Amino acid sequence: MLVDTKLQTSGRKTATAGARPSARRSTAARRPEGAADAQSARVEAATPEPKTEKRLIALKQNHLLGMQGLAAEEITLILDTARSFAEVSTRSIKKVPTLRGRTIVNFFMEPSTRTRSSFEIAEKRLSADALNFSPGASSVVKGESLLDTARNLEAMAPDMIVIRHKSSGAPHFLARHCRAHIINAGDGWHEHPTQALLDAFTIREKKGKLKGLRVAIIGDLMHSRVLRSNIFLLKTMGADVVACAPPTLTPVELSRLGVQVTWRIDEALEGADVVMMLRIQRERQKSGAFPSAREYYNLYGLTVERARRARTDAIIMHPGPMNRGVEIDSAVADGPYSVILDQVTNGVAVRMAVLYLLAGGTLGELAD
Amino acid sequence: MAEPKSTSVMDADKVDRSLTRIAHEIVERHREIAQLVLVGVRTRGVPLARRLQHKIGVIEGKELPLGILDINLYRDDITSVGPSAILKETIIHFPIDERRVILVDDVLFTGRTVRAALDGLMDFGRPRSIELAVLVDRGHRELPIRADYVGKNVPTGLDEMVQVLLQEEDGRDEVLIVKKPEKKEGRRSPPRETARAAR
Repeated sequence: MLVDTKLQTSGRKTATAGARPSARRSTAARRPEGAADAQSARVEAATPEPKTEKRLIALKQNHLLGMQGLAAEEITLILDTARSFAEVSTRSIKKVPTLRGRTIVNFFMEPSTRTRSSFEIAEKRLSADALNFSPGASSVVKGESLLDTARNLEAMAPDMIVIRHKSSGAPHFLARHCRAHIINAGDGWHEHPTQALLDAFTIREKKGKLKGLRVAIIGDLMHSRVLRSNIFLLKTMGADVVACAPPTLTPVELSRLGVQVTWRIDEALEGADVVMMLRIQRERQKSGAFPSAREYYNLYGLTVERARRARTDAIIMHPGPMNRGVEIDSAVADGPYSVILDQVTNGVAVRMAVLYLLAGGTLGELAD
Repeated sequence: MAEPKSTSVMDADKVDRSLTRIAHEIVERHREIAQLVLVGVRTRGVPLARRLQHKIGVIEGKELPLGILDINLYRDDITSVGPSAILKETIIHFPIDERRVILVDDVLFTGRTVRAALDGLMDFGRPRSIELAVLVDRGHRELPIRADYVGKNVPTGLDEMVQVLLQEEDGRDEVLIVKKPEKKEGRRSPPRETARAAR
């Protein structure tokens, strides 16, 4: 996919990127006309370039494999596009014909409810044909290799494959062996790009920007793909990230990503604009990472008292599913600063944007 | 980059007079003004619709509701040539059921944008009727679509482009016919170029 040098004559355009403070979906539809006008891009088709300004209108890549390496302007493009898709979900007819006739395979090799249904709704609202392919029903449990599965999927000529896999790098592998656009819906401990995008979208909706914000990410840093994608995105967009976990759940290389690392939750929360909690998998307790869920809660659980250390207008996020009383107190999760359900709503818009932008690209060449 | 040759076909005064005439034609044809709503097609249909709203307001003493439609999600070539513009919000915050909709755009060319706009409108309800107002009709229709109100008919060749400049977007009002730059000058790939011309 090419970078297009789409022409803009209006210099006002550039200001729209991060500057929409508290516009919620519902109120957004009622914004005064003037505001909408100020944003209108110059889209008249066949015009020569009078006063040109480079602006991305398409992604540079054919796949969304991770946030690592994605440029700030591409992230901004996805978030801006998602903003428009949020409107579609507020209509009484929540469907547009954009991806009519396109086949999208949801290839989920790990259990997932939220992400899979979010992708499925996004696909349906874009009129694509969605096919779900999950372990229980698939031959993978019968010992088929990923390469064979990829070739079989490829033989059905899907336009896009959304893949969740327990092995890091599985989407990249698929991208080398399939012509379809690959979207990573979580691979091992590596990345979960659409989660980071929907988190960024939610932060931008609430805070109006990403740049300069202090984001505290607290929880199982070791096994979290959500963390890694968020770090890449937030650092690219100019936010400050502080990560916090018990030493046993803190990977050593983390500070190399430009992140401040601490073992003390109070220090992480101090002055935070955004508090992002990560899920603690109870299974980790067996591996000796922490003695008990109760102890974890006492030392690292987000309680109302602890949350007071963050800024008074801080927002509380969680990618779900939550363990109430382990990493987060119910009073916080259901409290006024929680945007956890907004994250779920925004997930659909962000995924629609990703599907839409990738669909514009040309199908890739096979590597072998 | 070489400056392409351009010919002015409408100046600011002509644009304004055309819109005034269209506003009068609309109120002449629609006695029940309460039924009317305006919907501008992004990008340049929006300021045009807003101007018509103002002019009709002056004539009838009533401000018509105004909506904004982004047709990108309804284009028929999105998966073959990709996005041609950044997707913007569609803002229609009034019911269009049983209303008479005036769809406003700057240039009528192949008719494909209007086709997409019609599909888009239908997703918002069942209007009693839809009429089309354009500033410029340049011919070369590819679909059975015509405009009900036309600012100016401008005969063009397929190697030409019609460029509408509006105060709100471009700092001045003018309509130009521009010779399409040679392919080798442009940085864009051929299919994309065709697709743009088709919009």
